[in-house]
Amino acid sequence: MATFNSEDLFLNRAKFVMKFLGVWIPPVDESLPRKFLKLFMLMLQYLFLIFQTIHIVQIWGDLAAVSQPSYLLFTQACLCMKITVFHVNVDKLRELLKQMASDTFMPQSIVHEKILKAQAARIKKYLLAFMIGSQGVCSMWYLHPLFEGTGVRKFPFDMWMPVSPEDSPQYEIGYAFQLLTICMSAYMYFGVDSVALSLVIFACAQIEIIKDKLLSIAPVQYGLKEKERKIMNEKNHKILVECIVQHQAVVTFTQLVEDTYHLYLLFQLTGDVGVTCMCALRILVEEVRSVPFASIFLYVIVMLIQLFICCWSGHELTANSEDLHTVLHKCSWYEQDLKFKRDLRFAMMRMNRPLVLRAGHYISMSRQTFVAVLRMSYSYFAVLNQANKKDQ
Amino acid sequence: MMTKVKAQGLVSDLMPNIKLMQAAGHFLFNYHSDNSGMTTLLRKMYSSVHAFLIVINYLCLAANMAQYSDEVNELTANTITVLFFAHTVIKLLFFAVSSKSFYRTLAVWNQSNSHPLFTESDARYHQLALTKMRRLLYFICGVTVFSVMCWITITFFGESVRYIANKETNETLTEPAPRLPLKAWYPFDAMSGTMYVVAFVYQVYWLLFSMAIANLMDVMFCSWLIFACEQLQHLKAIMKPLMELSASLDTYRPNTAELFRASSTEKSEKVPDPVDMDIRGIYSTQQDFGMTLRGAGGRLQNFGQPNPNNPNGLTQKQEMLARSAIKYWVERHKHVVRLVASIGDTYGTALLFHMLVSTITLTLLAYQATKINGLNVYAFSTIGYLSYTLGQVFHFCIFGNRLIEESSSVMEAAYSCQWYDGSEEAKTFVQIVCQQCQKAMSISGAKFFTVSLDLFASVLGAVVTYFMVLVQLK
Amino acid sequence: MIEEAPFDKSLQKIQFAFRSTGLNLGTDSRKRNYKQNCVYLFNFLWLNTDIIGALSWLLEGIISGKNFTELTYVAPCLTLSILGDIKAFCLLLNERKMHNLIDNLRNLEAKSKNFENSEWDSIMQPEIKLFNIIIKVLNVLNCLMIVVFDVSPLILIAVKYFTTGELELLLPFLDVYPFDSFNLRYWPFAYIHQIWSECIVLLEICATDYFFFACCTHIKIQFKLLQHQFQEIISAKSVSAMDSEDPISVRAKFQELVKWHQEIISCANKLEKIYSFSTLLNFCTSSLVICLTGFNVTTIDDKAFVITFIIFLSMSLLQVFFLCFFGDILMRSSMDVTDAVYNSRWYLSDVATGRNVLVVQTRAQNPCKLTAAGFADVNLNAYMTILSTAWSYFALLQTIYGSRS
Repeated sequence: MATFNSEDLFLNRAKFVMKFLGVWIPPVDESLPRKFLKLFMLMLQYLFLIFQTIHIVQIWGDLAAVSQPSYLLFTQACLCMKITVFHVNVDKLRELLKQMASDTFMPQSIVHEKILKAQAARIKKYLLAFMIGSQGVCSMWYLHPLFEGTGVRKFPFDMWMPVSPEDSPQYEIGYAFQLLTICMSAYMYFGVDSVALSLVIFACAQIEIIKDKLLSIAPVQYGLKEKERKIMNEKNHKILVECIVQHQAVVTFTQLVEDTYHLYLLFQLTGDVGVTCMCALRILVEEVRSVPFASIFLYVIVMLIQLFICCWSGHELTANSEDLHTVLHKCSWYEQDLKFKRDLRFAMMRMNRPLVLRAGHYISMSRQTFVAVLRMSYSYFAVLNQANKKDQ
Repeated sequence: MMTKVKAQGLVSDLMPNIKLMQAAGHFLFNYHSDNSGMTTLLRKMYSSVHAFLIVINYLCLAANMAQYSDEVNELTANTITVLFFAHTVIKLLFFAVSSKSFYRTLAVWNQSNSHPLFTESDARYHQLALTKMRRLLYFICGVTVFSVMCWITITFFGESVRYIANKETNETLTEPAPRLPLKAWYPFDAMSGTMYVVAFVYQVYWLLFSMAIANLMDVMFCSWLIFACEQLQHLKAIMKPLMELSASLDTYRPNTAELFRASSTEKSEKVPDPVDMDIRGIYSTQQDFGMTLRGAGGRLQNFGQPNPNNPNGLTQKQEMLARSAIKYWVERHKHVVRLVASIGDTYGTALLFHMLVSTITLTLLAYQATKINGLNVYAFSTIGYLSYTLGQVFHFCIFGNRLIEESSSVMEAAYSCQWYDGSEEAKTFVQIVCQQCQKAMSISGAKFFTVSLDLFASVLGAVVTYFMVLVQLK
Repeated sequence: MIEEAPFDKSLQKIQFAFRSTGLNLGTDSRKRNYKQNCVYLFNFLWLNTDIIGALSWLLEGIISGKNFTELTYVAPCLTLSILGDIKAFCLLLNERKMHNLIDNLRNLEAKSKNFENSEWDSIMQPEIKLFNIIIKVLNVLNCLMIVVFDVSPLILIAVKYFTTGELELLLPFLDVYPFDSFNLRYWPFAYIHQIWSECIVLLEICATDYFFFACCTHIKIQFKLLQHQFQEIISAKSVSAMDSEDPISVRAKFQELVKWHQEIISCANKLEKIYSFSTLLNFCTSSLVICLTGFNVTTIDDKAFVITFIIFLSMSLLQVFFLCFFGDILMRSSMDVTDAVYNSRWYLSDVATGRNVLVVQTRAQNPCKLTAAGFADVNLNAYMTILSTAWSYFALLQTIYGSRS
C-alpha cells in the first residue's frame, strides 16, 4: 500500500497555485532563477502597496475620497505582511510538513483515512468558496471601467500610477499591471490562508483519529482466563500509550503552527477591522444599484468569509480537543487493570486543557472573536461617520 | 566595618542596573565594595540632594498648576504633566521606605542548590537570562534618552504661551511664557537671560533623572521576572533527562551511560568514578552532610532492602545521582516559587500606585486627544504622552504575562516527556508536579489585580471606549 | 488553671453586641431564655416602627411629587436599617447551626493542641492580633458615628437659636410619625426613639459581622496549623537515600492530617450555609447605598448634610470591605494547603505517600470559598466589582439627575 500523503491531501490546491506564482516553499538549495521569480512576484505586490500609499497621502483630508482606496490598502498591506511572514518562517513550515508526514500521524486503517479525507474536503470546500468569491470581486473591478462608457479612460483602482491613462500603450500596460497584480494577490491570499488553516484542520483530524482509537479499546471480559486477560490488558495499554504519544505530537504540532502563524493571524484580525469599517463608510456614499456598490458589498462579504473561516478553524480545534476529554471517559476503563487506570487519570488531567489557537499569542481564535471584530468595526465606523457628518 | 562583599546571585546579575539606580539618586546604599563611614555619608548626601532637587521642581510644577487653574485646557495639560511625574516621586519614596524588602528579594537567590548532571543546563539558562536582562536595560535606557531628547526638541517648536480665561468676556487669552520644557513656577523671572539658561539646564537635568528613576525601578522588576522565567525554562528542559534517569532505576534502558555524562563537552575525568564515595558534589546544603555520618563507615544506605532490580548495572553513586535528581528539581521549583512570592510582596504596592495614577492620566489624555485638529505640536505631545504611558503599562504587563505562561507550561513539559515508560516513582513525581503547576504563578498588585496582558487589554479598551464616547458627545 | 481557648476569648470580645440585641451566642446556655427573647422582640418592634416611619415618609414624598434627589435623602439610613434587621433575623433563624459551628471550632482547637507544634504561638498571635485590632477600630468608628449623628442636630439647633433667635427642631433622621414630631412636647421622645434605633441597627450589623470575622480568623488559624503539620510530616533528618523514615508511621500521621483537613472544610461549609443569604443581601444593599449616598454627596450643597452622607458612605464602604477581606483570607488560606503539602519532602518517601499527596493537592486546589447565595464569591475581586457597579450607577444617576438640579 502506498504511503498515505497527508500533505497532498490537504495542501494540493494551495501548492499548485503558489508554485505557479513562484512563491511556494523553495527547496533547500534554491536555484537563482527561482529566487528571482519569487522576488519579482513579491516586489510587484509591494509596488502596488507603495503606489496606493502615495495616493492616499496625496488626497488625505477628505474622508469620503480616502475611504475608497483605503480598504484596498488594508487588504494589500495584510497580504504583503502575510506573504513576508510566510517566507520568513519557511523553515518552520518545512518542519511542519515533515511532522505531517511522520509515522505518528499516519492513518492506521480505512476509518482513519476516511476521517482525514472528510476533514480535508471540508476545509477545501470553504476555501474554494473564498477563492471563487475573490475572483468574482476582481473581475467586477477590472471589467467595470471597460463598461463604464463615459468615454473617460480610467484605471480600475485609484492610485498613483507612473503612467497616465491618456496615452495609448501606457494605458494598456498600466491596466494589465493592475489587473495581474490584483489577481495574483487574490491567489496568494488564498494560498497562504490555505496552508495555515489546512494545518489547523489537519490537527483536528488527528484528534478525531485519537478519539476513534480510544473507542476501539476492547472491554476485558470478566470470565477470561489469566493469560488471555494479560494479553488483552497489554494490548489495551499499548493503544492508550499510542494515543497519548499521538496527543503529545498534536500538541507540539499545534504549538508550532501557532508560533509560525500567530503574527499573520493578528494582522488578519486588525486588518479586517479596518477593512469592514472603511467599506461600510464607502457603501454609505455610493448609490445603491450601481456596479461600485455591488462590488464593494461583495468585497466585504468575501473578506468576512475569510475571517470567518479563520475563526471557525480555531474554534474547531478547541471544540475537538474539549471533546477528547469526554471520550476518554467513554472508553471502558473500569474493566482494565490498575496500570491502565493510573495512566488514564494522568492523561485526563492534561486533556482537561483544550488546545487553543491564539493570534499574536494572545487573542484566541473562536466564533466570539469574529463577533468581537464585527462589533469593533461597527463602533469605529459609528465614530468616523459622526466625525464626518460634523465636518460637513 | 565590612570586608569586601562578593556580589552573588541576583545582585551580581543586576549590578549594572543597581549601579545606574545609585547614580540616578535612589536610596540604594548596599552592594558597594567600600563601606567606610565617609563614603556612606557622601552617598547619602548625594541621594538626598537629588531627592531634594526633584521634589522641589515637582512642587514648582504643582504650584504652576494651582496658579493657572482657571482655564480648562491649561488645567488639564498641567494636571497631566503633574500626574506623569508623580510616578517618579512615588517610586523614589517607595524605594526609600521599602528598601529592606528590595534587599531581601535580591538576596533570595544567593544560595541555590546544584546537581552535577544539570549544571550545564543551569549555566546555559542563567546566561540566557543575563543576556535578556542586559538587553532590556539598554533598550529602556535608550528609550529614556530618546524621550528626553524629543521633549527638548519639541520645546523649540510652536508658540510658547499660556492660556488664561478672561472672566468677563469668557474667552481665552494667551500670555507669553518662558520657552522651557516644563511649565513651572519659579521665584525668579525665567523669560530670558542667564536665569533662563539656568532654568533650562535644571529642567533638562530634572527630566533625565526623573524619567531614569521611574524606569530603572521598573527594569529591575522586569529583570527579576526574566530571571524567574528562565529558571522555569531550565526546569522544563531537564524534565526529560530526569524522567529517563528515574526510569533507569528499575527498567532496562539502553545507553544509560549517556544519561550520567554531565554534558557532552565535559572532559572525561568528570565521569563519576565508581569507587569514589564523595558525595559532597551532590548536596550543597548543610543538613545533607549529616548523611555522611550515618551508617557504617559512610556507606550509602539503600532503600529498605537492597535494590534487587538493577537492570542497568548502575553503580551506587550513579544510583544516588538518579535518586537525588528529583530532589534537586523539586527544591529548585520551590526556590523559584519563593522568589516570585518575594517579588510580589516587594513590588505589588508600587504596581498598584502606578496603575492608579496611570488610569487617571490616561482618562485625561483621552479627553485631550479629542481636541487634536492637525499635525502640530499639540498632537505630537499628546501622542507622545499617550504612547509613553501605555508603553510603561505594557512593559510590566508583558513580563507578568510571560511568567504566568511559563509557570503553567511546566505542566505541559511534564506531560510531554515519556512518563508512561517510567517507574511508578517517576509517574507520581510528574503527577504531583502537574497538579501543583495547574495554578499559575502570577504577580498581583496588592491582590487587587493580576499583572498580565488582560490588564493591558482592559486599560487600552477603556481608553479607546472613553475616547470614542467623548468624540461622539463633542 | 485551665487556659481559655483562643476561640472562646474571641467570642467573649463580641459577646456585648449579642447581649444587647438579644441573640444567643451559646456561651451561657444553648436554649434561648426568656430575657433574650424579650430583648430581641423589643428591639425588633422599636426598629421596625422606625423603618415604617421612613417608608411612609418616602411614600408621602412620592405622592406629593418631590424630586428624585430629595427622595434619595432617606435612602442610606433606610437601607441600612433594613439590612441590620434582616441580618439579625437570618442569624436568629440559623442559631442552631451557629452553635454547632462554635462547638466544632472548639473541638478542632482542642485537637490541634495534640499535634506537637513549636510554632503554635507564632502562627496564632498575628491573626488574633489583627482580629482584635479590627474589632477595636470598628467599635471606635461606630461609637463615633452614633455620637456625631446624635449630637449634631442639637448643635445645629443651638447654633440656629443663637444666630437667628428662632428655635427650629431637628431630628437626626427623616421619619414620619403619627404625631407631630416637631412639637416640643413630643420631640424628645422622637429623638430618643431615633437614637436607640440607630444603636440597634449598628449593634445588629456589628454582632453578625463580628461573629463572621471571628469564625474566619479561627478557621484560617486552623488551616495554617494544618499547613505547618503537612510541611513537617517528613522530618528534616532523613535523607534522599530513602531510608529511615518509617513509611507506615508517615502514612498514619498523614491519615490523621487528612481527617483534620476534612473537618476544617466542613466547618467552612457550615459557615457558608449560615451566611450566604445575608451576604447576598449585604452586597445588593451596599451597592445601592454607596451609589445613592455618593449621588447625594455630589448634589447637596448644605455642608452639614454632606458630612453626614460622607460618613454613611465610608461606613458602607468599610463594612463591605471587611466582609470581603475576611472571606478572601479564608479562601487563600484554604488554597495554601496545596503549597504546604507540595513543600513537604514528599520525594523522600515512598510512592504510596506520593499518591496521597496528590489526592490532598487535588482537593486543596478547590478553595473553600464563601459565596453570596451562589451568585458571587466573597473576596477582594467581588469588592472591586461592587465598587465599579456602584460607580456606573452613580455616573448614570449623575448624568440624568445631576444636571437638572
